[in-house]
Amino acid sequence: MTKTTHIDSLLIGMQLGAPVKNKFNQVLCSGNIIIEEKHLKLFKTWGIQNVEIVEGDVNEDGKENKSVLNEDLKQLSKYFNWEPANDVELDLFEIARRRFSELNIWDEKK
Amino acid sequence: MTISEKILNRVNNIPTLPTIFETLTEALNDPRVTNQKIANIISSDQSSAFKVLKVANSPFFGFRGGVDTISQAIMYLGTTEIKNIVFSLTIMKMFSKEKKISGFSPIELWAHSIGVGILTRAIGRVISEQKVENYFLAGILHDIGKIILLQFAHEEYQEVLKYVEENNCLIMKAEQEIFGFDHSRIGYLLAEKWRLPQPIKDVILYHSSGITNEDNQKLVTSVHLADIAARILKFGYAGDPLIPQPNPKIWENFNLPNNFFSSNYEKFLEDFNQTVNTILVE
Repeated sequence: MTKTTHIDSLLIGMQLGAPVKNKFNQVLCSGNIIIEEKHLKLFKTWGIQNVEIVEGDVNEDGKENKSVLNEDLKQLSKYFNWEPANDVELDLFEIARRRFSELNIWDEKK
Repeated sequence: MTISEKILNRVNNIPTLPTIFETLTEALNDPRVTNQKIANIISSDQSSAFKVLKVANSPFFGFRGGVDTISQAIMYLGTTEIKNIVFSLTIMKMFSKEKKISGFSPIELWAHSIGVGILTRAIGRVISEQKVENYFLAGILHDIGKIILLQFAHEEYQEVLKYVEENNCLIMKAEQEIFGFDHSRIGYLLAEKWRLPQPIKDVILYHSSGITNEDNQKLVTSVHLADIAARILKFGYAGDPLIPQPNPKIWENFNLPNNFFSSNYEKFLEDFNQTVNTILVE
């Protein structure tokens, strides 16, 4: 089952339910691909407003190596009293490393 | 009377939901109701109508400036989504945003709740949940018990925050130590009193463990993870600086793309900033 979705509401990791075509009816993306950043840029470039998104199946995305530095992990342990046990939890550490660095809050509790 | 009894007594005196929400719920239960009638009910409260339009036009809902009237908003977003937006705005208006204690204010907690709402909805969409309209509302309301405690147990809650600071623990543990119960219990009592739908009651009661025996497991788990991610992303403040580990049991029946959070990092920040500005800035 697919649902028509505006491109502003798309999330990376969602699955296309139908090919995306430009106004000349040329296929920009085949159906069933998992949306990545490059696809969002492509849709914006071509002025695509809506695409079909698959509903009902969970995407099993390709694995990506995370580069959480040891030093950062040590810093994070002030806030996390646990270690990541799977890829999603590792991803949570990755966004923590990024966000804490951006806000420069390594040594601050709040 | 013990502290717990006093607080529970005060919760019993919390007012019922404002008329606009009752009228809206009643109208939506009528299968023959028209969108125009729903629009008229919402428009009868001008400040609500204005905010509903602002929220409907935010990029989070995917309509950048294209929604001009309440009728259009209903047509684009559907009655459930619009009802949930009205409900979220109504609840936020009911409680003071001023009562700050020990560096913890309701406005920061509402910002945290909005962040959880945004992330819960995003998780719901990526796991291809069909009824994703309730996901935003569930995130918004998951910590309603803390709002109640901040408002109706203002002085006692200072003890809780002191305990958090001294023991570097989660606020839930401090509440249990000081009160003998935690915010999820208080929130649940309020949800019962307001006759909120069962999925929302389950979220309020079980969001910390992420596990429920009821039919709403996916929703509860989504809020559980969104709460943790919102703490990491510093979306508002939940009352303590710690980041709890997701309950290991949730992974038995729940899958997310491995890089879901980092891939959508920029979008989450943008959605959060714009939605908080739309909802919380007067």
